[in-house]
Amino acid sequence: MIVSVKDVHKSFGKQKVLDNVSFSIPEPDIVALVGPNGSGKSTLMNVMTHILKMDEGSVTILGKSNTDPNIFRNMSFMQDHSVLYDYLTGYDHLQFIGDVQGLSRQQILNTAERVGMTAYLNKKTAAYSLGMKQHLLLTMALVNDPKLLILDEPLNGLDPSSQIRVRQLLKTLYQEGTTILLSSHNLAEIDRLTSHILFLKDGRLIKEDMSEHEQVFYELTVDRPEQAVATLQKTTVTIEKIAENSLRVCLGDTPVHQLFQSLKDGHVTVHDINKKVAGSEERYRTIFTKAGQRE
Amino acid sequence: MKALKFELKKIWRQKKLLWLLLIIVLPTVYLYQYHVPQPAEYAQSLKSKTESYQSQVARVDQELDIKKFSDQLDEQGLNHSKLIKDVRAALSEWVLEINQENWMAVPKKEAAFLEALTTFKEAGGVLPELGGKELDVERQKNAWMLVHDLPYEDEQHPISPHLFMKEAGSWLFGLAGVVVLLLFFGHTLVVEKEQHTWLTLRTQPIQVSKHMIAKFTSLLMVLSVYVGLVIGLSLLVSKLFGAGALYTAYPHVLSSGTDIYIMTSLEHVVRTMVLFVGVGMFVFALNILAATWIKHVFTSFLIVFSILGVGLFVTDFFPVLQSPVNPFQHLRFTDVLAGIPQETDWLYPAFALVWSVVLVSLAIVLPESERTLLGGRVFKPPFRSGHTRRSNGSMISNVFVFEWRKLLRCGQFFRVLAVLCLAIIMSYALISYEAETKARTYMASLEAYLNAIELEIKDIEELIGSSGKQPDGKNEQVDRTPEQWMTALKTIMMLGEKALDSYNSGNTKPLADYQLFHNNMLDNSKGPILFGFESYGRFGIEASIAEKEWLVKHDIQPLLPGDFMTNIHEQWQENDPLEQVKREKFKEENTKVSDSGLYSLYMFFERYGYLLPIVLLLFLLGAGFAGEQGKKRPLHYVQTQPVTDHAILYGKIIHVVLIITSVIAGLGLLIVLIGTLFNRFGDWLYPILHYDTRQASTAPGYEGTLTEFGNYGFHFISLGDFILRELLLLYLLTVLVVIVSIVVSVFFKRIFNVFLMTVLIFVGGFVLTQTLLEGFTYLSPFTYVDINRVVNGEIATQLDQPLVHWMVGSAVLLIATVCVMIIGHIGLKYKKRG
Repeated sequence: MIVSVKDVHKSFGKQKVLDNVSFSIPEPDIVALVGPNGSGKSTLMNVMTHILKMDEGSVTILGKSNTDPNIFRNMSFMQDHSVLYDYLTGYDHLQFIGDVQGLSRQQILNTAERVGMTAYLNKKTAAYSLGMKQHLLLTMALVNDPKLLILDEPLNGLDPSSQIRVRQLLKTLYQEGTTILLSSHNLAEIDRLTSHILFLKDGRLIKEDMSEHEQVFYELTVDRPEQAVATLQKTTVTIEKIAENSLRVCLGDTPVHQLFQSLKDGHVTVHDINKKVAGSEERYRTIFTKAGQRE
Repeated sequence: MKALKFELKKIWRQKKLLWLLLIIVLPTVYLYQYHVPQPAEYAQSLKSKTESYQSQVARVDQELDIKKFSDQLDEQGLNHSKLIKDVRAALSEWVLEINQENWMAVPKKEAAFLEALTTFKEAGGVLPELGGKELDVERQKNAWMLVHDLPYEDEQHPISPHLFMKEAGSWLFGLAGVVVLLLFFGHTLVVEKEQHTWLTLRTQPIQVSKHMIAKFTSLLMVLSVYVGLVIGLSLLVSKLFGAGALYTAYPHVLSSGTDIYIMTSLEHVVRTMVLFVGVGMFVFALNILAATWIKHVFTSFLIVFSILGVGLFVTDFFPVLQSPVNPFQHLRFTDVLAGIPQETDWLYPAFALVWSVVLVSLAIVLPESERTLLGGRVFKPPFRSGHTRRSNGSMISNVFVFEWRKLLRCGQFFRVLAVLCLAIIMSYALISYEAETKARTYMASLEAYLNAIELEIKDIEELIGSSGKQPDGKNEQVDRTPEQWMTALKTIMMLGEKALDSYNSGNTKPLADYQLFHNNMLDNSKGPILFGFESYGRFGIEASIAEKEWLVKHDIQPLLPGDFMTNIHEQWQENDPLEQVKREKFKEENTKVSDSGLYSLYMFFERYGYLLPIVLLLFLLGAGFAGEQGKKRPLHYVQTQPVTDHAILYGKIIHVVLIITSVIAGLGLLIVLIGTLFNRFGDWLYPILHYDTRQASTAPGYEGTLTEFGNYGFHFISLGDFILRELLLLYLLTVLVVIVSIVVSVFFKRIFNVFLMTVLIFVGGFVLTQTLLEGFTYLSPFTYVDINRVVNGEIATQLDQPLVHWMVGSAVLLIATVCVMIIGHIGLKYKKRG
């Protein structure tokens, strides 16, 4: 088991930030952690890496308890840029990791080259742009060639070419056997990296109960959208108006012909129909709408 | 207005006002508690004072009575006899009221006594100890108290609202108050730049000048709150816990040695307050100006405190600069407030205002350094050409190396070293100047003294020639022949002239022979007393003689100025302002100053210069974990490496220990080196007085010199050994201070709170040690903060605890450091991360 998180609880004072979070990553994978602001993503990552102590529960990383600092020999956690020393150069940061983890100068330089930050390695980080800081943080995370990478918003602040480069790099790492757990608000980027998503809301992991049928939906263009909504609400399909004459319909177990029959009975004419498979955005929307409805 | 409102909101949200309140409450309550148990002593001290009067008056009365009964009194004598009885009667009534502690009635009775005494003196009566300026002071003060219908109060231990307000004001409206306000609020602008929030303000549709003015105004409002809190709390505490009434007209007496001035306590407090507010305005404005070019809070403090320190030091040294126009003169609180008010005193607030306006205007007008806005763009070559320590060392050593690199990269280390070097060089220059001036003054006075003796010798020769009588005057109480007297004067003449000649040719050693002879002339047991030295006391005379004997024996140059050793057993009257003036003069004329290498280092401790490196190293190294948490949290970067929190702690500790070792050793060497280059190395064997406690002095086998003064003894320590002991204590003390701060940072996230707690621990510990520990003072590490007084045995002697010793101190400081580290270790184990 690469990562095992069991029954983790964490509160700041009376505020519950993580509530009985459990999941595991049994084999090399790219897993995305998604949730709205304040849902507990960063806290979960900080708890997993023992930067924050959990109130209850257990976390095992690569077979070791997360309280053992030696786990960082085989894993890395890329945090936000507030962890950088303003007055140190990028290389100073990497050199410390090299000292602690027994890495050579060449390893450091190779990793910096791979990320594309050699040009400003010897510059103080106070003078770095946000993108440069992200590069440095990523280099710091990769320099020890980890088996597990935890990345908090890795693409934040990167220009498009850097985003492409980093995405490629992460895919290569995955192919080389590295497990990656990343958080991001950029759902399109997540789609390009993985379909394995953990949704977090108000400190709880939301169980994704989307069946295969539910992950397929149709976008319809109709002449009388209000009439179509009123008609379909009487059936078991899920319907959502997405534009003036457009509807998104998830059929579930309902056959397609029954959809057309119902619309015909309701005197609605269908001008166009597209079958689509749900991406992270649709899944996010579906899950958080359902979670909201359940609450 | 909106900017001001925002500034005030920030101050409120930061909760610094609460801390400020705590900072004022603690010393106020402590001061009150310190004075409260003392009133009984007041009656006792007044009784002692009046007993001395009574014995003198009784003696004169008896003498006159004896003469009266043997018909030896003429009409004037009979009048004196009658008048002295009036004095005696009035004195008795005064004493009676004191015994009954009827303080409201005491001034009236004292007035009657003083009136009778004046009448007696005006009629030609003689009472040597009750006259002159002292009588004038007493009379004027008493008249004031009668006019204002005031009771007698203990001014040494003030607990009534008006006197306590004055007492609290003397502490909190002084340099300490300025430092507290600067540390709490002074960096308001520079902290915005450090945290880049200044850019947020700059991108609002408000002019920069308005922001600056809003900041300065908010600081002035804080200053007003501080002043209000000090006054309010001192009145509240004394009203809550005491029963005294508020007499704002209670007299505050000032004396310049020739003139006497009385003002009300309220006037004195207002005077103190006005001066303090002026200083506050100036230092706040200076801080705002400094923030125009500086981006880091620490650097800003370094620079502002350096400017203030240098300004104060230079102003203190050159009387020509001591004018209200000079803003640093305003920082000389004690001297300004001790002086009699002048017509030009209004210039103090006026120039404080002018300087503040000028500085804030400069901050507005001068271009802002762009580097402070956006940070430097500096490339730095990697350490060790980028090579890592792949196979070397443990995690602790890796952390230690990383700490060292951080220190080098952040640049503060070199700034601190620069400030220390600057302070040392400037202090040395001033010490050189002082040493030269004092030596010149001393030698000039010696020359004048020898001229006077030459005249006296001629007078005595004439007297011997004409009548063979003893000369009158200074030597009237001494039993000796004119020939002995003549021989003594001629010897002193001969030795003095030799010393003068040698000094002019660059050799001061013969001065020791002259001083030894001169000292011996004061000593009853070895020769005739030349003139009265009662206030100086026997201890000083014996120590001075022993010092000169040591100098002669070891062939060491005496240090100038003065023939005597100042010491803690001097007998000056505490309550007498004129005695205090004399004491200061004596101290000034006899406190040794030398710019030789070794003695400069000794003076570094004697004048508390060592507190500067302690404070600077505390701020440089003591932030510990707090510097890496909070808004910026690079600690998380270190924590996500295979390094335990304990390795981080010990890495930091080893790092600070090594830095402190180098800095203290470097400072010591630098001071000695500068002294050696510009003067000479100094005498390793030069004698430094060590006070021995009563217990030690009277113990069997005591090897020092037991004096006739209260069974107190002394011995000498060579200057070199003395300095080594001081350096050892300084080193251990600094290590303890910084490690305490690092351990505090395990529990507190904000740097400000860490430093505040550390300072509170040490100040609180010092105060509690002085008040609570009594018999176990030697066990408290806080006792050893006053290094010079520990090593010379002063504290041990005052407490009569021989164990307050440099060796015990070293052990205690070491053990305390280990204990603090254990607390840090355990704290880290149970501390919640995050």
